[in-house]
Amino acid sequence: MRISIKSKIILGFAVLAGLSFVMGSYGLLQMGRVNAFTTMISEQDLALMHLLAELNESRTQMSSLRHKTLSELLLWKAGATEKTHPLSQEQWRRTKEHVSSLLKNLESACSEFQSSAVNQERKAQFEKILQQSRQAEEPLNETAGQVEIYFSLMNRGDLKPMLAREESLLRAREAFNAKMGTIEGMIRENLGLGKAAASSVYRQSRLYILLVLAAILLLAAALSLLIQRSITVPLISFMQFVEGVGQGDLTRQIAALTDGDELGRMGQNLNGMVAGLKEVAVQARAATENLNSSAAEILASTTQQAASTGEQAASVQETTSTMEEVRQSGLQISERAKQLIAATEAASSASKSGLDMVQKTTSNMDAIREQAESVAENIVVLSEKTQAVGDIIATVNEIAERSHLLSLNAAIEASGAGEEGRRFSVVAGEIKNLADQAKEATLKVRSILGEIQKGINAAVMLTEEAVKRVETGRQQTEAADKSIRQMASTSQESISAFQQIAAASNQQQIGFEQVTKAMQNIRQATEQNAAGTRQLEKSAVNINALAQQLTKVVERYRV
Amino acid sequence: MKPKRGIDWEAVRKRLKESSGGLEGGQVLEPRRIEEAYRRRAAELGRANAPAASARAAEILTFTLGPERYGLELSAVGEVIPFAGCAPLPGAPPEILGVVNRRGEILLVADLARRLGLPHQSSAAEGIVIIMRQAEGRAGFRVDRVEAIRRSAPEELVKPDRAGGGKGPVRGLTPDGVILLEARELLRASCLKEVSKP
Repeated sequence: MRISIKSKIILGFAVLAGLSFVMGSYGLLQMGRVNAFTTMISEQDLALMHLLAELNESRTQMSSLRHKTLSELLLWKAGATEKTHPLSQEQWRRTKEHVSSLLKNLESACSEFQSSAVNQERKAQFEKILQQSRQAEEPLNETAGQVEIYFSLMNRGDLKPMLAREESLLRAREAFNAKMGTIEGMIRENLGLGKAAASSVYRQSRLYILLVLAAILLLAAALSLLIQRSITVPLISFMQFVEGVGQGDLTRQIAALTDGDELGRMGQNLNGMVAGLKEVAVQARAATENLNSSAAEILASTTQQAASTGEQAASVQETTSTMEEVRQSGLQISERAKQLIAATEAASSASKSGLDMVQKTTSNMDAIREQAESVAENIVVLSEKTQAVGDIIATVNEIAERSHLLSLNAAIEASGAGEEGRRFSVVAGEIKNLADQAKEATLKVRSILGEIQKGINAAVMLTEEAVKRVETGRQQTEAADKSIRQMASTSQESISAFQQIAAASNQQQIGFEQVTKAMQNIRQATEQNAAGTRQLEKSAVNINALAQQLTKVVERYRV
Repeated sequence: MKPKRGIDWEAVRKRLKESSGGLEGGQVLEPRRIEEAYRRRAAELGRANAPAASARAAEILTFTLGPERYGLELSAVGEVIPFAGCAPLPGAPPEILGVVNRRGEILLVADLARRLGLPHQSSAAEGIVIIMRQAEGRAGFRVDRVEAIRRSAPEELVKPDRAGGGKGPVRGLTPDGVILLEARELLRASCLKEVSKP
């Protein structure tokens, strides 16, 4: 239903008003109807009653007139009056005509009322009355006839027949009266009917009104229920929803119960609001998480920074002290450079003397080598002589061999020569001994010669080695000479280098002092940095705490 | 360069002097040594006068051939001369090394090693030639070295077993390992038949 609440309410009220109007109208209508009804009934009844009354009156008048006539007659008869008044008869006739006209009026009224009768009973009653009144004419006419007879009798003065007629008159009158009575009864019945009809109409109307009222009430109730539902139910759901939102539950959304009207719009708005809140909460949560992590990061980084600043300060301190050490060592270097210069100059002069020494050594080496070579030559000569001795020994050996053989041969001859040979065999034996000794001696000499040769070889080798060593020594001496010269030149270079070093060291000192000053500045700056970082750290801790709090706050809202 | 321990040149000179003095002095025979020689000779002579311990002990000339020591009866030996090469004899069996001229006499030189059938191969220009006595034949055998003349009792010989037809020339084995050879057997080679004429 795309009707706004306002419209709904207005509509409802309008409907209610309409219904009330309808109700009122209906009531009024019914009242009018009842009114008309009762009015009609009463009118009718009144008319009838009026007619009836008139009829009765007329009847009475008729009767009285009759009686009057009678009495007039009687009076005349009695002689009270001279003549019967004919007026009364005329009057009676007029009255009968009146009654007749009244009856006719009654009939016409009845027929008229019959057509406009309020209900069937009345209609029937009217019919009955009509019939009766129609029927009453006859008795009336009968009565009138009788009365006419009566009158005629009267006029003739026939009293007795008149009196005899009285009975039939009375009978006729009774019939008429009965009829009139019936009519009256019917009319009174009609009255009752009319009342009943009226009251029934009234009851009907009341019923209708009550029904309509009930219907209207139901409708109104339904309508109000509807409206209320269309208002309260959303409102309740809104209330619950808002309560939930108040407690932090942002996960729900209002279902569109009624859209288009104010509550629907309110629901949409609430949804929108909750969505917005949710978004806000989500964003806040995300932002808080970010903040948290950022705060943590900041804290970590500030802590790191503090640590690194501390490290920096420590390292600055270290650097300062190192710089101091370096400066000290620079001073030492400078000192050492000076010392080195002195030492190098000493080394330079020493190298000069070294050169001289080397020269001497070289010449000594040469001399040694010459001597070694001459020794070698001597040894070689010795070797040759040994060789000669060896040859001689070989000769001696050969002699020994020969002697040996000779002795053997001598022995052989001696053994063949018998007795003389025996003495000869002694000589042979002697020769053999000599040969053996010679051989032994040659062997010994050979071994000794061998040893001598070995010794000579060894000596030659040693001498060769010595010469080589001398050569090596000479080379080394030359190398030493070269190196000493190099050393001398290097020491010259070194001297100049050391002087440069000393100069550079001085400059370095200046530089170090500047560096030390700069380090001081850095240290101050670092300390300030450290202080700042500590501040930063504190702030970061605070931020972290705040972020934690914020997280707690944000966690209130469940998304 | 110099040895660690310095040379005591004084001591060296002294030693040199001593040794050169020794050399000088060695050329003159000292009376002590002459005395010694005479004593020895006298002892020898005395020994020579004593009767032979065993008359039947033969005198053997011991020589070496390769690793073994051999011996020949001195009675069969004529002369011992050094081997200084010989003139080869064409068409001769391999045991014959050649001929040699000894005091105008042509002698056949055989290689004892080959004659004995030994695998010993020695240098052809070395050794001693044992020339047999003329009674035996005019041949000589080349051996490596001649040692000495010794006495050997025949009963001490260890005779070889002839069952397997062993070396014919071997007479026996002395207690100290000298293989005694039989000269006649040696000369009984077919190649020496020519010269084994008495």
